[in-house]
Amino acid sequence: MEKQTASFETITGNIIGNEGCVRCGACVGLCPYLTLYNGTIVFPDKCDLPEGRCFGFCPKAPTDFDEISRELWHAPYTGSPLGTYSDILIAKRVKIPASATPQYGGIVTALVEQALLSGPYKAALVTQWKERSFPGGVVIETPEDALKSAGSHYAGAYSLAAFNQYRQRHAVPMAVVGLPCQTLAVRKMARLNHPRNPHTGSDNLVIGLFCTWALSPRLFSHKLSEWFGAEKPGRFDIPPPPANRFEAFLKSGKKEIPLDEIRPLLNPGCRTCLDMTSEFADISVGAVEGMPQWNTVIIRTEKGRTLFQRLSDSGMIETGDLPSESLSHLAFAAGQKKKRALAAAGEEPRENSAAILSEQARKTILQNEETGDNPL
Amino acid sequence: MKHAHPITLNEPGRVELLMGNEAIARGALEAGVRVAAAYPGNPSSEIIETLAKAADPARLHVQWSVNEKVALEVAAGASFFGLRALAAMKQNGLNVAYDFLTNLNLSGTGGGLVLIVCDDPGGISSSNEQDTRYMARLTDIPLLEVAGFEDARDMIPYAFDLSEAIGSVVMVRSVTRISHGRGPVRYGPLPEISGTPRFVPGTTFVPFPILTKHQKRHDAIKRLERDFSDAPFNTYTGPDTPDLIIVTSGIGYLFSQESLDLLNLNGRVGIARLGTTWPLPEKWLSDILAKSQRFLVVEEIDPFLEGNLNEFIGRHPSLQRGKRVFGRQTGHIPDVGGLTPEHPLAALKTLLDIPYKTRPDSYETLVESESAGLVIERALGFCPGCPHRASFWSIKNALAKDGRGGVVTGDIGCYAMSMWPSGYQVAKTLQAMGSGAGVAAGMGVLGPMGKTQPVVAVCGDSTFFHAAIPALINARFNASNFVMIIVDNSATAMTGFQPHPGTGMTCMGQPVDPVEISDICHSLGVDVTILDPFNLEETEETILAALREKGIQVLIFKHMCALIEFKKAGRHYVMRVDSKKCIGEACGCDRYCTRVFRCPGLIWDPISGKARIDEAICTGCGVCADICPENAITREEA
Ligand SMILES: Cc1cc2nc3c(=O)[nH]c(=O)nc-3n(C[C@H](O)[C@H](O)[C@H](O)COP(=O)(O)OP(=O)(O)OC[C@H]3O[C@@H](n4cnc5c(N)ncnc54)[C@H](O)[C@@H]3O)c2cc1C
Ligand code: SF4
Ligand code: SF4
Ligand code: SF4
Ligand code: SF4
Repeated sequence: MEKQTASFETITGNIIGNEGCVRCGACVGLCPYLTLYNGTIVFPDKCDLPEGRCFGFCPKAPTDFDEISRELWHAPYTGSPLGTYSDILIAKRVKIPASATPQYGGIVTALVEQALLSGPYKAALVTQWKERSFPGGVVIETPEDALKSAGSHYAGAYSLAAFNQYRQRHAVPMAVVGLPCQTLAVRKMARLNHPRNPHTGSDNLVIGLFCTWALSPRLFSHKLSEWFGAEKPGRFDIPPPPANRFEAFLKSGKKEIPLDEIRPLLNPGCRTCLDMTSEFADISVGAVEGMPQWNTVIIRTEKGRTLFQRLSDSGMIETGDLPSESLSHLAFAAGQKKKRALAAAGEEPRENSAAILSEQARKTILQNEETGDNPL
Repeated sequence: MKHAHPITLNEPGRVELLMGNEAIARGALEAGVRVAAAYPGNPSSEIIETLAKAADPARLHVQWSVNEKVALEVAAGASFFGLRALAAMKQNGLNVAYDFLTNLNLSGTGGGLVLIVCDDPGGISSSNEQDTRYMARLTDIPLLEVAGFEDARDMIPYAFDLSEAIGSVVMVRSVTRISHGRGPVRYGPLPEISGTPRFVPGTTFVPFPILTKHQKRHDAIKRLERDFSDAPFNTYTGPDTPDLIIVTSGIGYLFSQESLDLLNLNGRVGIARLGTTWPLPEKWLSDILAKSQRFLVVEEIDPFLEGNLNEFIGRHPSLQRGKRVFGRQTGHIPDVGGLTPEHPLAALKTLLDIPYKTRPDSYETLVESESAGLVIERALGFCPGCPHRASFWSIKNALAKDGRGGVVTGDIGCYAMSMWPSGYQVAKTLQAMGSGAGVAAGMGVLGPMGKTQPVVAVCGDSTFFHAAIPALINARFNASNFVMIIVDNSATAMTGFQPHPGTGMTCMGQPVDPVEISDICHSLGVDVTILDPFNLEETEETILAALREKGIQVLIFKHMCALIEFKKAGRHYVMRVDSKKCIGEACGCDRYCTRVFRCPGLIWDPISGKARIDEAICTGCGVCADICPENAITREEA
């Protein structure tokens, strides 16, 4: 086992203590030292182990991007805006049951259903709005349950905690839906050489979401009850610029909140995140500008391709070409996110954004175009 | 019929091996004491416990009072009715009683009234090492110091006589090493107890007119400066013109004698031992001072005698030429802490320039390491199965979850150990009895100034009765905000399980209706929740909920002290660590039970890399089964 440089204090001090945590949940569900309470991680006691899973999994602890990229594609991490991929296209689900409210085209949910149907994935990690006022991870074992988790919950959900917990009981291949930070964590989990790692060598399928930022669960939930009282919105959306607003869909109708009111609720840790399109996923899914019924789909690995192919063959979805203008806007936005993250990481203690990048990747990121409006 | 306790035997001449505090109690019986009251506190508790053995409602009333002030008041009440009475307390207790004492001195007494204070040099079982002798001088009351076990018995009847002679309370001071040491004591006769309490019509016990009463006290002290020259407890042994005289009191006397014997200095050095340390006996001391030029003062704790001796010399020009006084102020004896025989030895060695090899500094460490193998290593902390551990576990976890940096104010009792790892370093302040609640009441009014951290006061049951009630009333009156946790183990456990108002039994063994803490709190109109701290989940949730509330939330964590419960009911559960499930040091546990939870009933076995139950000391409380992350600790009904 190679010596780990991070420690429990990296998590509690440098990351959580320094507002670097992105609420992915990779460090939770493993032991009594890091547990969740009311949308935050609590750590009443100190762990003093030199080799640990929490700081081995955390995507904000030092991470060598080249190593992960080489493992997936036998090529180094380049720093290109959208990462490594083989195909990019648009897709949408053909028939959506009236009771379901997918975020856009419902492709993520469809992929989860397909993964459970055709295997080898025995379970899937999704995120649902759980009891009280926080979203959290849920493991489902049957395709019928997939649609129950449709919709985006914009707060960080610590969903990987449920992944850890399930894995310690069931060593089965799983489909994991996650944000870019979670996608990265899942790759780190499979790689960490540790005698008690429940994810060692696991054959997962990673379905990554696009993400510009997530909100702090505690602050967001607080605001929600301030805005809407006890009523919980069914769905949220952030229409693309220049809308500059956040939308919440309640039984009583759509409520609009200016983005300026949302910004103070952002996870500070997201400022140093380099990834907008879940570059280490097998398949990534996001919105398409101006086409709210559709998803952008980025196919990155063989596994991703196989699953998407099966889904197309099943007739459950419809596909199309991504308009070239949309592609260039997407690449621009993703490149800008990288650039901002690098700048923000420079201002902050290194441990906060411990992405280990090659000089080449760094250069590529900094050379990204410098035009257009800044979503943050 | 009950066997008579040896302390009650009327067999003059009988020699018993008695603890200093027992000797004091015997002395009180021989003086015909009728009422004795105290609040438990080491090193004084055994005085009342011993007297309780001789208690008899018609002849001798013995009681644990709720606090030291009330104890002294109870004794004074009896004195005003013409009876001999005593109050006993530890040094901190005198502070509580002091308000009363500083008026009682002026108002005067009826029957002999003796105040016994046991100081704790080094603060072995205390929160300070205050030297209470200054407080006798401050109140113009005579001070006697016990120097041995026989002495302890002799001095008490003398103190009663003295009190009646001057119409004032008399203070007798003991220290840990005498109170808790043991030595042979020869019994004197026990008097016939007779006489009906009576408040003499027309008498008053008031401090007015103040100046007249104050003058009276000064006159009495003046008179005693003269009379104490004949007191039997002031002795001189040694040559007529010694090179040096040791002036000493208390345990210093025994240690000084020992050093002279060891150094073979009995022909060169004299010992002047004072039993009456305030006021100083004028003639006797002048004679002593005339014998030599150099004096070494050996006393515990502060330089009380040393300072008074210097002042005495200053007041007597005829004595001044070339006299030198050595002691704590000159650095010949360490500035703080109790005495050991080493201290006079080392001082004598320097002052007389004699080649005696005192113990090297490494001696203590050597003794410690050599003796370590003989005793089981145990950090200062809660006993196995202690309900306080469970309480502080939940308080710690609740505060972490609450996440606002809550502050815990501690108090005096076993649970003060919550400052240390055994209580997860939860308590952040600690002062006097009941001050946890008072300090919290102060913190709890800072909300309007922007305070965001919640406040939790932790207080024991006995401490609640002692001094926390006024603080709670104050908090309620001034609309303070905090959570008050009363850890109710139904005992004054730290000082030896004395009964208190909540236990339903007096110290004389009389059953009484217990005073319910919850009733008191209810009557103040504050919210009260009672729960069992062994129920970890419920406890944590209750604390979390209380932290979110405004006003004062009283939570009573009720669970009997593990030692009492174990004695009464034995083991509740048989505990076992399933070594197949225990993951020990591995990631996922990191010795959570032995490294973090830290009940001494669990031990870490480094060879197998597993935890196990120490069956000899585990009380079978079952709590640890709920904290093991692997469910490796199992409990089975015993
Ligand atoms: C915090 C956040 C920020 C996003 N930002 C962008 C963005 O900037 N640009 C963009 O194009 N798309 C963004 N998305 C992705 C987008 O909202 C859709 O999730 C995605 O396009 C898939 O659409 P769908 O119709 O297939 O979703 P659905 O079929 O409805 O499936 C949604 C899936 O998202 C999962 N999910 C929901 N909330 C969370 C969460 N908090 N953490 C992890 N998983 C969650 C659910 O488990 C479900 O599986 C973001 C999503 C989230 C959660
Ligand atoms: S190193 Fe292991 S036991 Fe320690 S905090 Fe991290 S996950 Fe928990
Ligand atoms: S970023 Fe994820 S793994 Fe790291 S501290 Fe936060 S929740 Fe834990
Ligand atoms: S059951 Fe556990 S917590 Fe209770 S005394 Fe035994 S070892 Fe300690
Ligand atoms: S907490 Fe449980 S698993 Fe951990 S060392 Fe103790 S008994 Fe073993």
